[in-house]
Amino acid sequence: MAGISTILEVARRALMGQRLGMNTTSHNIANASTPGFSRQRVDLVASMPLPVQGGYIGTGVLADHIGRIRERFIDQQIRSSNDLLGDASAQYSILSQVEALVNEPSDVGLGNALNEFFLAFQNLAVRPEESSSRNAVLQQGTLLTQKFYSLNNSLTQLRDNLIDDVKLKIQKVNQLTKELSDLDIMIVSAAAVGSDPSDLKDSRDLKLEELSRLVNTKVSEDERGSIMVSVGGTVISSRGGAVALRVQVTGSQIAIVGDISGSEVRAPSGELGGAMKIYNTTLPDYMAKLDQIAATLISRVNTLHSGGRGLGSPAPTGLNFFTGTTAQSIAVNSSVLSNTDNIAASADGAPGNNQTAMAIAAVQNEKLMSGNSISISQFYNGWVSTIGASINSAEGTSKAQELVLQQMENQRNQVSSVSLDEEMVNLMKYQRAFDAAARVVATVDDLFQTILDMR
Amino acid sequence: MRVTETNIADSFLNSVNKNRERIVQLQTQLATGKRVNKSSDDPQAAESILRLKSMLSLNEQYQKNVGDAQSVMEMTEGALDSFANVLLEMRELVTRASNGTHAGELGIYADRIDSLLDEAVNIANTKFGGKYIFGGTQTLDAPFIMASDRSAVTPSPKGITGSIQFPVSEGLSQVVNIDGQEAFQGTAIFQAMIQLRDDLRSGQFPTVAQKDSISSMYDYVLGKGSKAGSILQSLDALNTHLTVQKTQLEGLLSIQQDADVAESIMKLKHDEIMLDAALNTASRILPKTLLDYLR
Repeated sequence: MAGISTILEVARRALMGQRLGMNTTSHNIANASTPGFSRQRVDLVASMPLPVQGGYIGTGVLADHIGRIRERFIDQQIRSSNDLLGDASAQYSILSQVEALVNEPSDVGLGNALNEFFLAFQNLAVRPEESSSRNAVLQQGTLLTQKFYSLNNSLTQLRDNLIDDVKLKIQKVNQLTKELSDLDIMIVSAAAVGSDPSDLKDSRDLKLEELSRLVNTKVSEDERGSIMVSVGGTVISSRGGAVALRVQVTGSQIAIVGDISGSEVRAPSGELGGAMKIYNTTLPDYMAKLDQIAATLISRVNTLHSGGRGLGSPAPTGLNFFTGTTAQSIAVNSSVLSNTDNIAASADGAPGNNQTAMAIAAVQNEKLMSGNSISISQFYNGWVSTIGASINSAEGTSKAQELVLQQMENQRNQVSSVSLDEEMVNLMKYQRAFDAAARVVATVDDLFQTILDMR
Repeated sequence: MRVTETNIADSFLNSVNKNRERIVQLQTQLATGKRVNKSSDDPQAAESILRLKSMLSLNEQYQKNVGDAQSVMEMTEGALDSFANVLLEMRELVTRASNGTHAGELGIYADRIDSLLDEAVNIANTKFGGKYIFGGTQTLDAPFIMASDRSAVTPSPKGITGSIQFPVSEGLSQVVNIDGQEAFQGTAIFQAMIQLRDDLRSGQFPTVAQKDSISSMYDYVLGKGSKAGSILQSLDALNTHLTVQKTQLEGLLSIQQDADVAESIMKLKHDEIMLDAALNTASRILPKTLLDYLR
């Protein structure tokens, strides 16, 4: 049985519903530029009608649910794109540092030092008797060994610094998984009392996205809205808590392991995966190639040099030009350094004979590397080119993923981001409805007055 | 399609960023004049640049080597010419000595030949850049030693033979000396001069055979001089070849390495216009909302 008070009740619900709408609109406007925020909407529904003779009578409006507008599918896509981007961009930034250290093509790189070294020997072949040309050989030889040493040294240092980088990233992962676990608990308990905590879900999604840049994650959600985050099959965050990770260095390799369990957590991509790939594979490979160049140079030059004869010595000196075996240990033999006459330019001891110097100068184009198919210089040039190509491919991947990500973010923003125009229109809509409902209250008031005035 | 302020702002920022990235790259190209500044700019080109640079520095070294060889060979040619002139003068002396000369005057001719012998030994011991050019590979010892009693000229005990080769081109070396053994038949020419001097001194007139042998010695040394000349010619040809090669290498290097300034500027101009357009559009669209039209 509907009375005048029912009209008042309907108006009251209308006022509350529109106010809730304005409240949500205001919240949306306030968060228009908050990262990760999804616009929220009040779902207004007509409340249960009352059956009366001849039909139903409406009982007004009810705010059924305040929820966020979000596409779960795009979130997944963004996360998987994010870990590929993290992987490529981490590799790109580290490789760019390698490129800067190698510093080619330039006049100050190892390539130039190699050239100058062989040219010095050629110059010695033209002037085997002169101490100036002998000194030049020592000078260029020393410069070359320094170049080898410093390049190897800076690559080693870069690699060592990567451990700190990986540690920092793992710290970030640990922090994120802890926060995710906390958020998850809050979301589940909010859901238990029947509310939909949109803002908490937004910040959980934001954390997940940050995490997916660092490491490739798999996220599964149960029917209660609780999520479980796993990396390479290991659960690292759930309602039950977060699993802290740490770096483990074994020999020359690094791995991520559970802090407590100690068992390895496979992370093949993301920023962590990218940095680890460079540490475990790429840099060791680059440095091995550098060592290979140094070792080949040392052994070939020494073989020729020790068979040659110094200035004024009819017997072979037997002296090696270089000592050491690697890019790090290569040095000019101190016995040669202390006396330029010990540089072997001559094959038979005659001061004008230059056969040994010429043979050493010719090492530059001798096919000694890669199964005697290419020269030392060609091998080095190929090495430089490989580094450039790796950077290009990392850059290409990261640019492509960035583009994909931009497009998906654009799509998500189309759905989820706040449009001020839209909110203004909604605000006006709610305001008008509120005005009208207030008018109903005033009218009901008049009605009551009319009834009270009846005598 | 629902387009929000975030969409507009994001797409604006993305395109402006990309544009600025291209502008920075072009600026670097224009500032350095080089298209390839890092190996990642163009890995293949970087490899070629390194190879070409190394070939260029080798080419420069070869040119230096050829230059050195030319100086040595010019010196050698000059010395052999002077030596031939000594022999020519000796032949004239011998001719004059055999025609209408008193036996008593032969001593004067002997003295003259003795001084020519000095001259010949000095020429054979020519030094260039601190090195004896007729010593073979024994460049630090005088190849010919005059005995203190002037009775003989002996070769250096260390030897006067050995050919010296300079690297002059990829895989190619050039002999750049004529050793004492070859140039003067060892000490044979000096011994013949000593024999002649001693004969004249003892009052013997020079024989026809002696005269003929001087002539053939003259021809021999002259022949060695022209050998030096022909080495010089091939060095000249090498030099020309190396210069041409250098120009070619520089051209190739430039193709790989240098920025096409005109093209870069055109691209830069284009990107500038695009940036301008993006900024201009954004400045018009970004500040607009419905609020502007609500009272």
